[in-house]
Amino acid sequence: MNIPEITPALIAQAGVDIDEADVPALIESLNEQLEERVGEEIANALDDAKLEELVKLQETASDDEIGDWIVANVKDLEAIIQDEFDILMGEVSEQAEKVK
Amino acid sequence: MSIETFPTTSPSTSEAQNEYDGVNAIEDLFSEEAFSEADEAAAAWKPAPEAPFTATSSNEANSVETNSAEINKGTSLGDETPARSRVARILGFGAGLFSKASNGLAGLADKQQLRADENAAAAQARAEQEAENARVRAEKDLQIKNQEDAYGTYAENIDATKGRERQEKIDAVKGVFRKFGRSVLQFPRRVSIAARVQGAVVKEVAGEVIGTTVDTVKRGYDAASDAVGAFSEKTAGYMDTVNNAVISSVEAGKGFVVDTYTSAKEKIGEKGAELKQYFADRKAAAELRKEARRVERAKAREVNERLVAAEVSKRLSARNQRLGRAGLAGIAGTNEN
Repeated sequence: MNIPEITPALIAQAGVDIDEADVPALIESLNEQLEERVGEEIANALDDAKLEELVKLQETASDDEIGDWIVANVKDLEAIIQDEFDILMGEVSEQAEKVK
Repeated sequence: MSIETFPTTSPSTSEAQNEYDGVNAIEDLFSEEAFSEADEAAAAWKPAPEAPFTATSSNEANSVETNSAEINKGTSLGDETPARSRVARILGFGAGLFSKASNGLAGLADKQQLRADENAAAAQARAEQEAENARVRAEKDLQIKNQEDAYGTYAENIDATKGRERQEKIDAVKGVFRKFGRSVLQFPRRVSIAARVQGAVVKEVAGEVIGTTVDTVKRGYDAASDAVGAFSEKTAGYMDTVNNAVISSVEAGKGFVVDTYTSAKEKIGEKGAELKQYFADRKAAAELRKEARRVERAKAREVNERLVAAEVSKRLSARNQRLGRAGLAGIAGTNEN
């Protein structure tokens, strides 16, 4: 699976021009947003039974086990991740001038 | 009461006193008939010192003989007299009766106790069974009510409940969105290092663009300088005639520089605009795909919910049929009766 990453180069290409010292904090924040959006979309993609299963699993399983379960059970997972990535970066590009 | 009692004023040993107490106890304990029987037995008795009282065939008589003999031997009342012997016999006879009656009473008490115990045990068993029956009935009633409630609620509120339940589940896992989002993305901490490397590359690329622009600008200035220098050297004697030409050449040089700088700036701007458009296009395409997935899921859920609703309706219908059949059968039974 190709996992997109938000990097300093990427946000520079998106038009964000900030102090180098502020870059890591911005990247961390954007990655957290991406993770949350991907998580929400995964939950939306599951039917009730699978969602129930995931709710139970998250109480006992490790991150790796949850990840494996999601890969095995979520349809179009790669497309979901890529699309959320593109949407987020599109928003970053739109708001680039406001990011100082 | 016809029995003679031992005189209280007579000198007595403790044994005699005990006998006296025994008589009173017997008097209190036994019926009139018992004492009458004892009186008769005493009246029939004849004192015969040379021929001691002999046993009859009855147990009571044996008892009388034994006890009276004991009394005669052990008392300090003096020689045996008819009155004394009579008392002794009565005492002996009474003691026998007392023993028998005591045994009978004890047996009766035991039986009564046993019966009471049996009754209590039976009552407790009945109470426990009734409690168990009540509990089972209550459980069944509750189970039936719960089933009916579940069917009813589900059938009536299927859409609202479905949406609410799903949102509750999503809210429940919302806390771990970040957690499993991260696990799916497998976002490594080392990405920041990799990103710095990539960032440096980008800067180099950008630097090249800017450098090219600077070079171009510099070349423009150099060309202009060269032009001015050449003009100075070549036109020393032609100042008057070439002033306008020099001025024109300088102006041309300046114009070239300005033109080149403007061109580079425009190129950078175009690249930025291209990137902006690139991100915008990708975002729009991603939003379309996301919406398509949402619509597809909504349709699938709608179909599924219709199937579920149909199944619930079918089950409710079957249950109502059963209830109706049972009701009709009940009415038919009542009419027959």
